[in-house]
Amino acid sequence: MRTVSAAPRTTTAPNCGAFIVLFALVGMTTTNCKGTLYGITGDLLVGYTSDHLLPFALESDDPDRACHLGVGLGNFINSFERVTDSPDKTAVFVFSTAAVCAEDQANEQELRRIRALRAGNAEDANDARFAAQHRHLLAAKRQLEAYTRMTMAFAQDKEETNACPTLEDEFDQLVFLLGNLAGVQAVQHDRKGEGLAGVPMDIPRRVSDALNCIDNDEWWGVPKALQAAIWLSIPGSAPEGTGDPWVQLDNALPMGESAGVRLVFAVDAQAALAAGNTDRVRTTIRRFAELDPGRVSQQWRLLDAMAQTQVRSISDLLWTEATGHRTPLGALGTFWDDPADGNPLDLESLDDLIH
Amino acid sequence: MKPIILLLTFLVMCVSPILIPQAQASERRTLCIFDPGGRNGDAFGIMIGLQNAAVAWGIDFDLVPYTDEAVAAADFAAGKCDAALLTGLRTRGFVPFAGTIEAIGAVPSNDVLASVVSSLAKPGAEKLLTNGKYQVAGIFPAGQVYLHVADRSVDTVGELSGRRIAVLDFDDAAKTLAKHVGASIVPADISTFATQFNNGGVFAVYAPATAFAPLELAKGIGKKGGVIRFPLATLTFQIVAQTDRFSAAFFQSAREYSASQFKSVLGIVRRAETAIPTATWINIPEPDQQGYDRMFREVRLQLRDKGTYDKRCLTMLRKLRCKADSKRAECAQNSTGE
Repeated sequence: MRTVSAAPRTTTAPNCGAFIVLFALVGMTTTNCKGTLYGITGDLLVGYTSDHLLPFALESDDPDRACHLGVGLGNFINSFERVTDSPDKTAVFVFSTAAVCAEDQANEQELRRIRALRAGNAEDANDARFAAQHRHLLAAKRQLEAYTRMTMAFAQDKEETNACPTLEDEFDQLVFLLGNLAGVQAVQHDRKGEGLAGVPMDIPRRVSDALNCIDNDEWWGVPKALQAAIWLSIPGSAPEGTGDPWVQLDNALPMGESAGVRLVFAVDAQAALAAGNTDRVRTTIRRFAELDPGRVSQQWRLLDAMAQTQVRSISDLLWTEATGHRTPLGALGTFWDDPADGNPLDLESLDDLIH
Repeated sequence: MKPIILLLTFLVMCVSPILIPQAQASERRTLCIFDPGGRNGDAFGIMIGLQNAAVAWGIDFDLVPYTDEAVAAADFAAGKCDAALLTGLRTRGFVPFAGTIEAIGAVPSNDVLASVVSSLAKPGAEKLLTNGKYQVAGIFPAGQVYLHVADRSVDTVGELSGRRIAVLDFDDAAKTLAKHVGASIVPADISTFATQFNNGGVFAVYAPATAFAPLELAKGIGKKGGVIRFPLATLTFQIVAQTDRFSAAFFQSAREYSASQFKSVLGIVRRAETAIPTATWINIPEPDQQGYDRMFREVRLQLRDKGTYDKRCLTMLRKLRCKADSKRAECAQNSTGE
């Protein structure tokens, strides 16, 4: 069974190079030697990406580096679909991480818009809004591609539309989870871009069904949390007999904490923000910030860091609306109107003190 | 001090505020926005545009999302919101004239709605759009409402008699229409009607085309059903505001802004409507359409007499329908108030 785990840092296969040369020579003896070489190269690189590059990247705590990896390597890796099997599963990572770059830029523009509003500058506010919409659409397109690649990767396993695909190992399940997550995010970004990316609006309902195909406990509570967020965002979309989606989200948070992969916090904060429940947003952000960094999963550190980026962006939004600037350094989990530390005397007591 | 220096000092003191752009002092106001998608929804996005524009009018809007329209309307009525974005169905309780725009069959096309919005953005329309302490500050298209049926062989109103139709609890107009055609009313709300339809609990539901994909109404339609391509009503989002919390200039600017955004907002709606496959639509023959028009008119008159619809608005809508299509049967009649 293939797992997405820390791979050996050194290879113990010194004869690999010889095999490649052998394959290359065999390939060159064929009439389509260039195509064969390309195919071998493609298979090797796509295999290397999923076996080594992705596990390595997932251990990183740097979402910025991951997003640039997605942008930079995306076309290169995906181009191997021209010469060998389409690297759909790898593409889910490539497009999902590339979307993070566009999402960050959209968030920055939204903060600029708020600052322009506070300055009374309607022109700058409009410019920032349009810039944010462009970036939201780019994020939507990349996430839609991630979702589509996920559906293509597992389509061959589906006999019926509603049947669960065969998810052979941990890697497959991760691809499935991230692809579905990307589908929901694609819709959200597209709506912020006035629907110009053309993301099908039935994706959230499909994702809601698909999430039943993976184990909630094993995947840090994300499947149930995401389902709840979908039901909250589309009134009437919850299956009959479903309980309170907020309770479902409540139940997911400890799972993210204990696993050290807090994607559920990003899902919860986003759902609460969308619903206008600012108190819950604050509570979730505070709780997120309270976790000892030492408890963050080493294997999935990138996913936790991506969750932190999303949680911080929501915190930045609240801070900027209230104060004109983003969350101060080291202040995630605090808010501008928090009571001051200590137990200050009131003014009358102050008079007593100095007389 | 030499006179020239005095003059320069005077000029610097008096003219500099004019030459140097100053941030305009804004008044803080709360705009409560109903959007089923909350802060991520289309309606909220449209209001971000208004928020930007309002800065130039001296208003700093705090945008507050609501996913439950009844709560948004209640908070607005209680004065917690200075203004609210609601559907016309809810606005009717505050400003009956504006709410009547969503009268059954009264706005058969988006072109007619465009005429409505642009007409009501003209100076002088505030008389029609004000009802005591409430005034409407903008109208936006939100899509046309269609009947979704589980069996496309039932494509005439007469055949709906005895069939179960989900009707929203607070929608008196739909109840009247359902009773008019002899349908069996099944109470529903926005969070249950799709499930009722998709589970086969009701034969038909009415919904904007924008709801088709997110609520997967295709499940209820199945292989036999369809969407009747004849709008029952035209849904709108309307900004209703507390009259005394805004200036007359703000109301006028906001209405002109909403009219200027009509095409752009309609584009969003149309893109969301394309989810309905061509084969799912059920086209109604022209003679049947005229029959529906007559029936809708009868229902409108009933609701006018009950006080649900505003007579002046119905007259305005008839004139705009006839302006768009003078061949309509009603345009030859010398009647008023429908």
